[in-house]
Order: sequence, then structure tokens, then C-alpha cells
Amino acid sequence: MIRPTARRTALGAAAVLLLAGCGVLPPMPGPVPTDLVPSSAPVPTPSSSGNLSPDGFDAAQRMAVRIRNVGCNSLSTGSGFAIDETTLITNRHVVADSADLQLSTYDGRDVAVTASSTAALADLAVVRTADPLPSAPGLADADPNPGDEVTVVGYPQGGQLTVTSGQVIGATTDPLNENLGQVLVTNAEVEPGSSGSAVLDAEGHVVGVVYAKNSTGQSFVVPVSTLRQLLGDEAAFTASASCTSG
Amino acid sequence: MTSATGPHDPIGPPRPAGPSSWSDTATRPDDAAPVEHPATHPDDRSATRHPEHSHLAPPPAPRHRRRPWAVVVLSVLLVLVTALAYYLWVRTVRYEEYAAGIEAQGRAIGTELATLRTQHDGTLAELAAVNEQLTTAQSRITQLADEKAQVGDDREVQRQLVDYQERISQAAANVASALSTCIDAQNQLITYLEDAAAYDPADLQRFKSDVQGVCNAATVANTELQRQLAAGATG
Repeated sequence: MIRPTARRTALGAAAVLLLAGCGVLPPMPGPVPTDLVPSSAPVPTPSSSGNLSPDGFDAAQRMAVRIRNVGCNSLSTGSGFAIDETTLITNRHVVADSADLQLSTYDGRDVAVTASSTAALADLAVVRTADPLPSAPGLADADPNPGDEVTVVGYPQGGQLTVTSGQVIGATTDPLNENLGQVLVTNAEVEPGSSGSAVLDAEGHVVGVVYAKNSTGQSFVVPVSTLRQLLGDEAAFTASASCTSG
Repeated sequence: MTSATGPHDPIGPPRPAGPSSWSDTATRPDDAAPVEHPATHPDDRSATRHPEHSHLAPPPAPRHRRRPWAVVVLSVLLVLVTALAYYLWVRTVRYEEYAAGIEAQGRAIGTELATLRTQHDGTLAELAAVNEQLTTAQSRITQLADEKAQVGDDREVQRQLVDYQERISQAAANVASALSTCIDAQNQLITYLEDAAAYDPADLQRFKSDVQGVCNAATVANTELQRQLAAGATG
């Protein structure tokens, strides 16, 4: 038998539970939002920068420079690449015995030369320009390792701007005895006229400078460590002699 | 379930109207309570001695005493439930209005989204076309740059060839001039020698030496011409 007190308690508890149940109900809806579109949306981050440049050419192409060496009774062509706005790197034999050096960029613009200097300990030369160069890549911190993918950008045979790729095979002593220390060997295809071309790693940094090839199609590269070493020594480069002064 | 006759049938089969076949010792627990406790009054002995008359006894007095309290409680609960129902109804109406507003905006946004998707597809198609045009333009720029470079190379070659031709022409002219002078001098010398007695032998000898010098100069000019020819345009 249930006592009246117990019933009262049960009824009171039921009332309390009823009121408590009302308490857990969600609140009344507010006014309908006037605009569900957020004022500021998150900006998506592009997955790739792509070939973002004023004209769609990538940095590797924009930094390449074609060099025409007009000698006293000769004409030859080579390649080079910018390292800053008015300085480019090429090979010593590309600018040797010249009466006039003529530069042109990837888009055919002519760039005037103010001076050129060559290194005695490596087949390297520095050319200063009067006009700004389109683009300059960064130099890699270290030489590439065997097996690393490399890209060569230059003007083989003095023709169109060409991008070829290959792998670093290893290091060897200079077969032409023009460079102090070791040089790199790659299987990237180069031709006469490719001398002075930049060798780029996967990140687009310069890891070397093409200066020769052999009969088996291997290309020889002055490593970036040598380039850095010579650029850090102001006495390493001397003004190149003109064929008209001899 | 009208045919249910089992032991838990809430209705059960119709039972006889008489004093019944139910006994005080019924085994159904749910039916046992009123039989074992027919009344709550402690003095009602007949209820236990004559269970067949228990259902005919008047209701116990305490039930009448509890009803007002229960009515009050139930009334309060009824009011509360009614209030709750009204509250829920209002809430439902509000949420319907809210959902209708959200749906309307959602449809407007959906329409705008469909339009933007169409524009986006069109933009992607235009972008693909522009990319193709850019690739073509880049190839053309590279080609034109190469053509310009080749023209520059040819210009330099032609310039060097012109310089060469000028040098050859100048050397040839020097040779021709020297040879002409030599020939004229030799002819003059021959004239002098035909009437040698009329001239001083020392003067003739000096003139002969001069003619040899002029002709040697022609030989030197010719040698230079041959060297220029052998060297060629790039020598």
C-alpha cells in the first residue's frame, strides 16, 4: 500500500520532472538571418604557383641569356644566366677574344654589356650589363649528389632557348684542365652553344655551369661550390682581353 | 487480440456472476491483492471471513478523503501540461517560420550558386583557351627571339664579310696601283735604255733602282693580297 505522503512526493517529483523537461528544451529560434553568406570567406591557398610571371615564362627561361661573341674575324655564340639584376655568369671561353659581346634575353630583347671579366682557375666569366636582366635565380647551397635530377637551360647551337634534363652521374677531374678541382658529370644533353648554361636542381636553384661535353654525350659542369668560391674572391676575376687590344 | 485467453490476458474470459469460483487462494498475483486485502479497515472482519461479499461493501472512507488532494495535483499538472503544449505549439510555429526563412535564403543562394557554377565552368573553359593561347604565344616569342638572334648573327657575319671584301678590295687596289706604277716606270726605263748614250750612266742606274723599288712594292702588295685571300673572312 502506497502512503499519501509517498504519493504526494511522487506527484511533486513528476511535476518537477515536467518542469525540468521544459528546461532542457532548446530555446526559441531567433529572427531569421538576413544573409547567410559570410562577409569574409576563407581564401583558398593555391596548390602550385605555376608559371606565375608577367608573360607566363618560368624563372628558368627568364634568366637565360644568349651571348654573341663578335671577334675580330670570328663569330660564336654561347649561353649565360643572371645571378642578379645586372650580372650574369657564363664560361670564360664564351667571352674570350671578343671585339664585342652582344646579349639577348629569352624574349629577344637586346641587353648592352658594360664589362666582362674572366676567372683564371675555372672556365667561368662574369658579364656586367647596363640594362636590367629579367630574372635571377638563387644559387644552391651545396653541389648536387649523384642521381639528382638536373635541368639545363641554354641556347644549344645558338638556336632556340631549350630546356633539357638529366641526372648527375658523378664527379671527376677536369678533362680539359681548365678548372681547378673536380667538376660534375651529367647525362643532360648539351651542344656547342650550351656553354655557360645554368644547371638547375629540382627547386630551380643553380647547382652548376655547363662548360664542355664529350663524345659519349656526357656534359661537364662547373659545380656551384666553385662558382661560389670564385664569386667570393674579388681577385679571382680579371678583365677579359679584347681581340682588338692585342 | 480478442482471442487472448492466456494467464496474462488483461481481460480474461467472462467469469460467472455468482459468488464465484474465485477463492481466497487464487494463484494470480495481480488478482490476489483485493482478495487477500479486501478492505483496509481493521475492524471489518467480515471482509476476511466472507470474501464473496467484499465487492459489495461500500468504498472505504479514506478514498473520499484523498480525492480533493489528487484533483488539485492533477489540475495543476493539467495546467502545466496545457502550458507546455501551448509553449511547444508556439515553438513549432516559430521554427516553421524560421525554417521557411532559411529555406528561402537557401534557395536564393542555391540559385546564385548555380549561376556562379555556370560562370565558373565558362571561366574554366576560357582559362583553358587562354592557356593554350599563352603556350602558343610563348612558342612564338621564343621562335621570334631565335629568328632575331639568327638575323643578328647573319648581320654580324655579313658585316665581317663586308669588312673582308673591303680589305681584299683595298689590297687588290694597292696591288693594281703598284703594278701600274711599276709598269710605267719600267716603260720609262726601257725608253731611257734605248738611247742610253744620251744619259748619264749614274742617273740611269739610280732610275733603274727606283723602278725596282716600285716593282718590289707591287710584289709586297700582291703578297698581302694573297695573304688576305688565304685568310678568308674569318681568318
